[in-house]
Amino acid sequence: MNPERTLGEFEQIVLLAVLRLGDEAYGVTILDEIAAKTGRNPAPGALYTTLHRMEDKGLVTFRDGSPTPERGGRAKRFVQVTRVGRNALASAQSAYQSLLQGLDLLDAKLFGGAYA
Amino acid sequence: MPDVNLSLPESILALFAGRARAEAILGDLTEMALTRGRLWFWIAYARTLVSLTWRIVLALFVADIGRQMIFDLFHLYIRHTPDAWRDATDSWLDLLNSTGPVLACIMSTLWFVLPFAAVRYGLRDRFVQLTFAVAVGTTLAFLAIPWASLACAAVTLVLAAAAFTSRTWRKPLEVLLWTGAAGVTMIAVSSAVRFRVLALLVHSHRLLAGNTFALFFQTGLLVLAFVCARMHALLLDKPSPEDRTLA
Repeated sequence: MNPERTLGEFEQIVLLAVLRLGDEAYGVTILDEIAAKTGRNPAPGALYTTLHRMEDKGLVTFRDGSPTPERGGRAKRFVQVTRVGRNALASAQSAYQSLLQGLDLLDAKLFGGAYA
Repeated sequence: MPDVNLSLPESILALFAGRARAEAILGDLTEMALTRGRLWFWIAYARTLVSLTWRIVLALFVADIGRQMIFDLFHLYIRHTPDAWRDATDSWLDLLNSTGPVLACIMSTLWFVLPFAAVRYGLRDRFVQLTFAVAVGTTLAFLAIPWASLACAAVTLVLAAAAFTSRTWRKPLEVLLWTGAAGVTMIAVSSAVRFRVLALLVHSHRLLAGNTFALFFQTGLLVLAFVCARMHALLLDKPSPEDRTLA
């Protein structure tokens, strides 16, 4: 494994969605959660390539569910965040927090203020 | 989508994503299609397939172009080598000439694998970085520049030895060795087919012979790309048990 654990923006969004969903995180629920919380509607292909890449990096792992009729008899693959993934996410979020400090960016957005 | 047999679309997806991943993707799309419709399903399937394959297709395309470009440059260089250099490196050139086919195989392999891996895995990948160093070192060694080529050959060998003893670089070197062995074998086999077997056809069926060789050679490059991707997945992408510990 290469030691780099730098996360892209979409990787962070997916990891946060998986953590929020807990044991119920699989393709469909992750897409729904991202749409509900961010207003984005990512393409399923984008989610799967990201999940596969993160699995290869050891950031997430999968466990198989049971086949269901509405899925054509195919099993769900539930996603779980690994310790490495959680650490990478914490590190990325910490970097964002540091950069945000003193900018009042969130307040400005809340009050609809124009930013010069 | 219960009335449609999805085994073929699933098999196509499995070629690029693996059986378990393909099954889960088709299951997710089928579940979402219940509320979004059949048209949405096929569009989402096509987009997913493109997402999973575009990088591989682009990598193969760039690799083939890159290999041809380097060979064109190499031939250009050979034709314009200064006479003084030729005189100064006669013994080195003799050695290279005597190992010409092997040299061509090594060069083809390295300059096909390097652009392929660079597009497929990115420049930060250790395998890409090691392949770049070895490809540049080997090419400079083959250029027969007085003293510089000998120095480059020595540095490349030292680099390979250092990578072998390093914990960080050993696996990328193993991937490169496996890929190199596969590449040299593939290209040697297709060249042998060209020179030995197809030579019988050249006079009567020149076009057929040329096309058959091109088919053999391109198939060889595809196999080489496959070996490179598999070895990379097995040795470098596989997370350690420690990495798989849940949060």
